[in-house]
Amino acid sequence: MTIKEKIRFSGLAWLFLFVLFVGCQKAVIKPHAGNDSKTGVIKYSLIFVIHGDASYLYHDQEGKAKYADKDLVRQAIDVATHLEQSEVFIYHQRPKKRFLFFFTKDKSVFYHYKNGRLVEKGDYAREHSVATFETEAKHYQNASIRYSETPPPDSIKTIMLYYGHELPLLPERGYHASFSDIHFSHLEFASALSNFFPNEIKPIDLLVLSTCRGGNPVVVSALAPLTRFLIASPENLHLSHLGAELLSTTLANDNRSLYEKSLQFTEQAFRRLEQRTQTVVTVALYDIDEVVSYADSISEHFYQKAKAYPETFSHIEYLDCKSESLPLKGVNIFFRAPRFGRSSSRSFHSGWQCVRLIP
Amino acid sequence: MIKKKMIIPFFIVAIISSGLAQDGTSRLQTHLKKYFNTTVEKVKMAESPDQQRQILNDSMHKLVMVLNTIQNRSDIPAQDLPAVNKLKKQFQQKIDELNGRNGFNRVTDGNLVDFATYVQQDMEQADRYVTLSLTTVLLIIIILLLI
Repeated sequence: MTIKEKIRFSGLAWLFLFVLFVGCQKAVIKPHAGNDSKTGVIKYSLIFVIHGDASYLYHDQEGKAKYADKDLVRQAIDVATHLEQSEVFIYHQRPKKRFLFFFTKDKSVFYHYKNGRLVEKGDYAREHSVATFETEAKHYQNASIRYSETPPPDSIKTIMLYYGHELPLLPERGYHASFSDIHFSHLEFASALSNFFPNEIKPIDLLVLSTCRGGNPVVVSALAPLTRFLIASPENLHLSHLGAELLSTTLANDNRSLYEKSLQFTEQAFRRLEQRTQTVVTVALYDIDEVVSYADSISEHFYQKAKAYPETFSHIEYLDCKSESLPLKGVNIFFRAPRFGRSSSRSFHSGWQCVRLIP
Repeated sequence: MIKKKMIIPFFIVAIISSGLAQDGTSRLQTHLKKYFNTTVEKVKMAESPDQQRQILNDSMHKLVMVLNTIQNRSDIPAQDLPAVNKLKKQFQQKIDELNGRNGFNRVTDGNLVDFATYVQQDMEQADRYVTLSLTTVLLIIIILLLI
């Protein structure tokens, strides 16, 4: 080997070792300071948890490939910069990336905005808190005005938004694709949200659950202790999701109640999806106090059956809940049947998605 | 003795092998979405409703054929068969609707583009994933590419 070849080889070897070092570093929350935030009134504490660790590819009306989670991060940042009387936390749960064939890097990203300006941005590893959201929860508790002021301000409304795939009703592997051995279900999800607000009763004023089949009594029952209002879809939901960007107008500074603003968001999210999709569109606003007893009774029945068939049911069937026990009020449903398929002639939806365990 | 000719190719292979470390199911879903987006774009560009219908039929029949092939293989894990069967039934139902069989009204010529979009968007829901082993996923993708 000539001297030139030795120099070239050693340079490449150092490059390899550098990349190896970077890749193998234990990931910690690495914040990068943003602009100094101006102090101002905070009316809303918004928390976006955007799941990106699965297949979120979809195509828009022009056929362009889009990634739902990346779109939502952009929308959430847009909301954060426009809603000046708010603090906004955005947690983008990204898949692990492979490099140099053998190594993986676990790098999710968070943003913290206050009064319209970026306070902090950084990355973090999810490996040890995939199903519990503890990393995100601890960051929120350390940074949010809810916990930094004593006593905590009464007037702040807390709005949490989760964007992801349908929450399994029974623990299953594979929800988080990069951590496919981790079991996850709607119960782990509810517990993970509660980690943001330890020991608090109904800490969330409005929870937006942008997944398929979130308007399911079993899911609603699990989330009922956490939130006053819930926006969810009882049927399938296209990956263009319940548009986060609509929040900027619906939370505009006016005297309407949070319920009225939530209803406006529900309807606008429905109209947006109705224009863009051929598949079914259902978006509902649930007043939890009005519907919790119904949700709890269905949920209890489901768990009893699930225990009785731990190994002997083959799958779950989904159907519109139609029974006399449906709550008379507490649900505002916006529904449009799919343009094609067996359900295309439907004109009514109860606002609830029930399940049947098939042996 | 290390040959210098091996060094650069090694790094090229190492770098291009980088990618998402997701499991096979996500990869399959992504692959199917991209596959059907190509179908939708072809339908939009087609010159006549007959061509549009043919493109849709061919594309979905190909998917059903691949899934049939997978089902008949002896090396597919038994726990994957229900999910493969479910996928196959979903596409078969779309073929029936396209052609007006099994209780469906035939999709009219004027609605073929919307129907193509409907099939595509039906794959692009925020619903439960179908869990398949990596072996099955790779076989589906490879057979789909080879046909």
